Amino acid sequence: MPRLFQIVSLTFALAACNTMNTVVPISNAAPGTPGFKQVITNSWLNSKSNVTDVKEDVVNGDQKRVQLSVYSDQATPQSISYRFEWFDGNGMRVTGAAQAWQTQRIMPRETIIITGIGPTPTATQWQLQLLDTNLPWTQ
Amino acid sequence: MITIRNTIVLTSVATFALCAACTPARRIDSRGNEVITSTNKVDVQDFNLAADKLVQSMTVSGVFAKSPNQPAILGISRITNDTSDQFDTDELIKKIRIALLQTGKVQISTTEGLGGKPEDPMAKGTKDMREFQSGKSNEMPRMTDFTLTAKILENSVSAGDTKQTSFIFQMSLTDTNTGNAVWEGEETVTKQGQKNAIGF
Repeated sequence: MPRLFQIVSLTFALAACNTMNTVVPISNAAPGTPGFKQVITNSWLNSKSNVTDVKEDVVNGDQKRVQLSVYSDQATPQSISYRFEWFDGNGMRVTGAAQAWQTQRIMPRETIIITGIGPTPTATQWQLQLLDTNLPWTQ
Repeated sequence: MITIRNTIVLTSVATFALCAACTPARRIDSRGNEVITSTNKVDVQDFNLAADKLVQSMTVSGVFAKSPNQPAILGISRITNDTSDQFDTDELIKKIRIALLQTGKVQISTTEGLGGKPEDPMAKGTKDMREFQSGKSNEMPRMTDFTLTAKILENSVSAGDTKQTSFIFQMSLTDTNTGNAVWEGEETVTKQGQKNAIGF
């Protein structure tokens, strides 16, 4: 019975592991500090998709572009899924701006670049959502 | 005691497997990560991915922002499906049109179409009537500033039971003043597997 309980518990624990990590910008960050914050609920996911740098600029005259550097500390190739959410200056979600989840392969100790562009000129705030893709039951 | 315990475990596993195999119908997010990935056809998420990437490339190029006429008028030209999958090309083009309209720098012409066939005949008729009534029917109408053409190609290979299919989305934006392409983009979506699966 204890072994059965262990098996069932492990199954539920694994199922609950694929929680989302989120990256959000920090406005008015102190000099020398990162201008972004990672909300980590999945440390395993963070080990293969740690955001190390964020850059922002404007394209097409008035649309915000954000570029993130993502580093994998793993010794084997990994897959991650990511998506950008966009909000206006009041923090309201920009309607119809939900982008599709994208999958990215990341090699051992590699730093990849993830880029997002605001869909409208009013989309000035962003949020990056990260999910694990390397789950055995998704194969 | 061991036989009873084994029976309970096996029954539980069998019940769980049966329940997992009988997934009831439910609505899912078409842009989410629970959609089915097929190995031999273009899925809805493939269109989403290709449209997102192509629009990003177009946006970064700044072509529409540099247009002397603001907002720029875009006409949809020839869109070709060269794959073995019979899909409506609007599954790709409509997403791109929506994204471009959201930028505020582009308007899509629905009264001018390929071969002179307007997408919206009623809008075309109303526009013509208004121009006639205002006496502007003899004036040169504002033509489209850009036209969009696209082609979707397919490349399939297999290794044993594993199939790999690549769908190549090619797109060009032409400046109608010069007749030259001012932006071109290509996005490839490659899928590999032995059978369809849920998720990425």
